[in-house]
Amino acid sequence: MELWIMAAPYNVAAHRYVNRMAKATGRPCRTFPTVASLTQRLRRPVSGTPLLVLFPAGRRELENLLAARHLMRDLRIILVLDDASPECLSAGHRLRPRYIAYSDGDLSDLVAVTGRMISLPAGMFRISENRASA
Amino acid sequence: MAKVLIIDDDTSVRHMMAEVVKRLGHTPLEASSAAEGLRAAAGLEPDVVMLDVHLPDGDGLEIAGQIKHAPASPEVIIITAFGDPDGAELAIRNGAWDYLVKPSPVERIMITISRALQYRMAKSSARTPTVLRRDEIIGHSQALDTVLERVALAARSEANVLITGETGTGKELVARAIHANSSRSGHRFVVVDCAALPENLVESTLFGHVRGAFTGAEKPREGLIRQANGGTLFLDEVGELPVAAQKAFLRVIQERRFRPVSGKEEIRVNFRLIAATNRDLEQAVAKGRFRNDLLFRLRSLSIATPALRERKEDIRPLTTYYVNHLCEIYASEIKGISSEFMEVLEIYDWPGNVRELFHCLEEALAMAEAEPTLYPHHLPVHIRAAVTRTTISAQVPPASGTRPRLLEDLNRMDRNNFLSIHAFREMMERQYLERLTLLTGGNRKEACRISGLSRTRLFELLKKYDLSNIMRKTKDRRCSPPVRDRAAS
Repeated sequence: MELWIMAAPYNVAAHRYVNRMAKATGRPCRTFPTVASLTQRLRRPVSGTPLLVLFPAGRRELENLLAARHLMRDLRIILVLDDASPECLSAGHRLRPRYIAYSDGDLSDLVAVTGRMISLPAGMFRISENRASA
Repeated sequence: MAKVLIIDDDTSVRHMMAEVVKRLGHTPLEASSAAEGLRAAAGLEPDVVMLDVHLPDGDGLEIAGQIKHAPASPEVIIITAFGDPDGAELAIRNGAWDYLVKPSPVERIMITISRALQYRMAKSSARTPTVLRRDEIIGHSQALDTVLERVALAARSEANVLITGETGTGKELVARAIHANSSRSGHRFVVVDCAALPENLVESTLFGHVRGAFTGAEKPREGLIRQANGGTLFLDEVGELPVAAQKAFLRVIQERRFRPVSGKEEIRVNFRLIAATNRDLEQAVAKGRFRNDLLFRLRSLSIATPALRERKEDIRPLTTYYVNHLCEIYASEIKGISSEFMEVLEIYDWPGNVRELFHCLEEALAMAEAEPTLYPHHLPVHIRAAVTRTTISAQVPPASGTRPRLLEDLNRMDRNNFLSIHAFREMMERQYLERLTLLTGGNRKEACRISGLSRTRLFELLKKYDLSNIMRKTKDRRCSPPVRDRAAS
């Protein structure tokens, strides 16, 4: 399964994530630097069902993505927020993501969930620590 | 006073039932055949229908669905002289209120009728006219109408809902429709994709965590349960939830409070729970993979989304909707749809359901490029091949001298046209059923006895090969003299 990532070129978290996923999958990820470039691509037929990983920069870009939600058809979405405010979370859930991660974390959860969604062998993305209550 | 329609060809049974109905203070109506019963159900608007299975001109189980969809939507009680567990199950699955085996004690019949009427009264008093927001739920088949009725019911209540159905049947759309039509629609709809979460991430994702709960937890984080406060929490693929997390989640459902990972204080929450799965959770319980108490809690109200092959009349509106939607996305002229294209879509079985239909149309539009109309050759090859095979199998003429002799034909086939074992098996099965129908004169009981098939399986196979009408006509031809005799007398 292909990975399509939308993130601004200066987004450090996205850059780290792209590198880790490219290493894990053995092929470069398809990246879109802006919402406009992503929507332009979505206005053409999509073969297969790529997984969309979106790193919107702030509330405004999130709203732009929401306006383009109808173009994302039934593609599965992972949303990476840089702002966990209630407003951003509400807007984020309206985008219908399968998972929400936060760019201020270590991204290990994001890598693990992506790995599972694109069916990578578990060893490539295992989280070393159990994040459950004892 | 309610109206109870009794459909039975046995006069003494009808009279006995009519007496029971009168004793209950209601009005009995009578019909002695399936045709007469259908007319009465449509015109006399009964509240309850007592329906015999073995009628001279049809099978009660087959007309039960039509009766249910009569203008008054009566409750149907199946009544028959023959104990038949498969038939009973089929009747209940088709929406019958209850199933009585003749002879049943009068008290049992009275209780069943009374309960059906009580249920009907409660249902109509609870029913308020609702304009349902359907969003992308497209179609007008009976199967879909049943789902929408359940959606409306769920939207009016706060009960936990379990949505079951094959992959691609729109379980999430149904969950969103419940939320959108409920009093919680102004709040969040939060999705938990249980299949996407690695086991050691489940609890922190659901419950959140405090700062320092584990390596990398530099900030406290709200879990999805907290984010759903006031709104709806949708557990998708709930059958994938690890057993340990099931236990923790059960407590949240029961007590509506939870503790974040490594947190000291409990947090109260108020959310509505909807879960969905394509797995058989009963079986998962039997294998110890799913907690019975959690299943019990989840399915206070259950909704089964039908496979697309069970609502083929919706393929046309779905196709029109998706083609227009995709043309709009691509900013291209709206394409025409040829009748041949639609026919192929209607023949194909759609194992991937509506999702597969959508992707197939997307592929067809890509293939068509600038051509103004969609034709079958724009469809993916695997779909055209499957439809061709089905069509050829179905063209085997019934009971004629030109019937292909399968084994001989097989010997004549070479590598290029040799049949798959699936196609061969289907051709054999179809010919067997045609011969069986002729041999038994359309008598299903006899057909079950000879073939060793259960009644349910025989129904399924006749439906699969579109032979139900042939079975009925054969039976009609066989039954016509006695009917004339009765009319003459």
